[in-house]
Amino acid sequence: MRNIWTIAKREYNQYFISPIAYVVAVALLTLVGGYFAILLLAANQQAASGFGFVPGINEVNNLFAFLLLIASPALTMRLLADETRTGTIELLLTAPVRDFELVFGKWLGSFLFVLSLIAVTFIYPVILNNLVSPGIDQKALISSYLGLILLSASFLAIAWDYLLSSAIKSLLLYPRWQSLSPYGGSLEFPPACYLWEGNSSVTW
Amino acid sequence: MIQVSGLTKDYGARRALNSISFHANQGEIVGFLGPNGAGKTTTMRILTGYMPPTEGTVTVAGYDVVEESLEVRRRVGYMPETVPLYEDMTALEYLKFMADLRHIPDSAERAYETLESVNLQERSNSYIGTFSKGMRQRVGLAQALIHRPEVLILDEPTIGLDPTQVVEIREVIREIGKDRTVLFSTHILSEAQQICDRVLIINKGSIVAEDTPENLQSRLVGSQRVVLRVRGESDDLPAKIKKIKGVRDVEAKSDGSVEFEFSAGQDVRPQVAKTVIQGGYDLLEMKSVGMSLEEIFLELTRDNGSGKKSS
Repeated sequence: MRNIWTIAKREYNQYFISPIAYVVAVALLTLVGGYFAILLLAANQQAASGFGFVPGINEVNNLFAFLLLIASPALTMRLLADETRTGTIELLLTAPVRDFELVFGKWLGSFLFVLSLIAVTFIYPVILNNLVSPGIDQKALISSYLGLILLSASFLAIAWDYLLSSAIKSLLLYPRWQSLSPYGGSLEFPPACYLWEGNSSVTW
Repeated sequence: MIQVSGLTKDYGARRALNSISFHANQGEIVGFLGPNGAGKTTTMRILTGYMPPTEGTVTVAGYDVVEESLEVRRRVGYMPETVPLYEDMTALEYLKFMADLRHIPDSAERAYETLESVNLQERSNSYIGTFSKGMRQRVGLAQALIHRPEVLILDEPTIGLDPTQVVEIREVIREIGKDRTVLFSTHILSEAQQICDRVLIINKGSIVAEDTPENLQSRLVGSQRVVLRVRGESDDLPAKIKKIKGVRDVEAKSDGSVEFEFSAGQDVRPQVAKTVIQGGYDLLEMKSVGMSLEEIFLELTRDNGSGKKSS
């Protein structure tokens, strides 16, 4: 369990020095923030005309969830690509770390990053709560955020899993994959194959 | 400590290792010599649990690398050929991360100590991306040493280092090798000669020779050739040297130096030196022209029969 946390912590910190993470964060938060502003303006205008509607936090979170669908692959991509490019995967796979801890730790790192983004959006319900009376529905708020968090967790898991399994697939389809590797015959994805065939049954 | 028997590894249709067997005892420094693509890195990767073997059994510190991979990995320090570093971490952060993965208490302290042991304490807070090749190599070594492993496996640890650093690293290896097992690969025979207790020569996936560096060289060479540089008046020195028992093939070179050969195990150099001095010459230089690793390889690969016999 300690290993999971160690790996997750490193991955999480790594996001804050990676340009892709900043691009994703800026794009996501700008779009969601813009949408929230438009929603408020629209509600305000409608209220003046007498056919008012109460903007809910669900609309904002729906958009956020949709954007996460696109952002998840971008966020998980570097989890494996960087390690194989620099050869550090050799380090992790020869350290006394279970494969499960490595996979879960990396996923947890990306999940924590998305949680941070979700935490930023929490100012919208706070603003909304001050604007509408008698305040927003707390239970709906909680369930909306719970849904968003669980959905982001599964999006990241799917993206991460897809990445791993495509690495394995490339191994199965091309037995002489070394010669196809762009790194001049070096072992491009041995970890993934080892992950599943080699010692998973032993170490799990 | 390391016991390898019948180890075979196939990459698809290509056989990288063909049933190799060797062992390394505690407190022994074993050098792994071989040309590129001979299987050195493959062997090391199997020993460290990075890849499973196709056939054969490998035990490290009494644990099977397939069945008890985690136990093996806990006891092995490994420095791969391309040093695996996170360039956007500082040296200290990186080592702390590795120490945490190995559950070392007071990991930050240990990380700093280990950095000190490879002389990088001044750069402990610099990003690894800014490091020179030699410094990276030393961070890689520190990473392999951080948990004070029983078995240390180093893949070409001295490549890309300047001469002072090479000497430092060799010193570190020798120090560790006193009570722990070290397996390291190299291209340089003189390096193996200086620090190894035993040398394994591997070629095309098979071990072609295994012995102490001295024995290996003398057996392969059979005789040793020496260049002698003297200053003196008369030129009867070649004739005088020829008279010494055991000396063969005396050759006077045009630049005034004399070359001769003698059989390994029958060192005639003291007599030669005496003859030179007694003959009224000044002895300027006497050095043996050893066989280089390349020549040994050529020897071993040209004559496969004798190579097999020797292993």
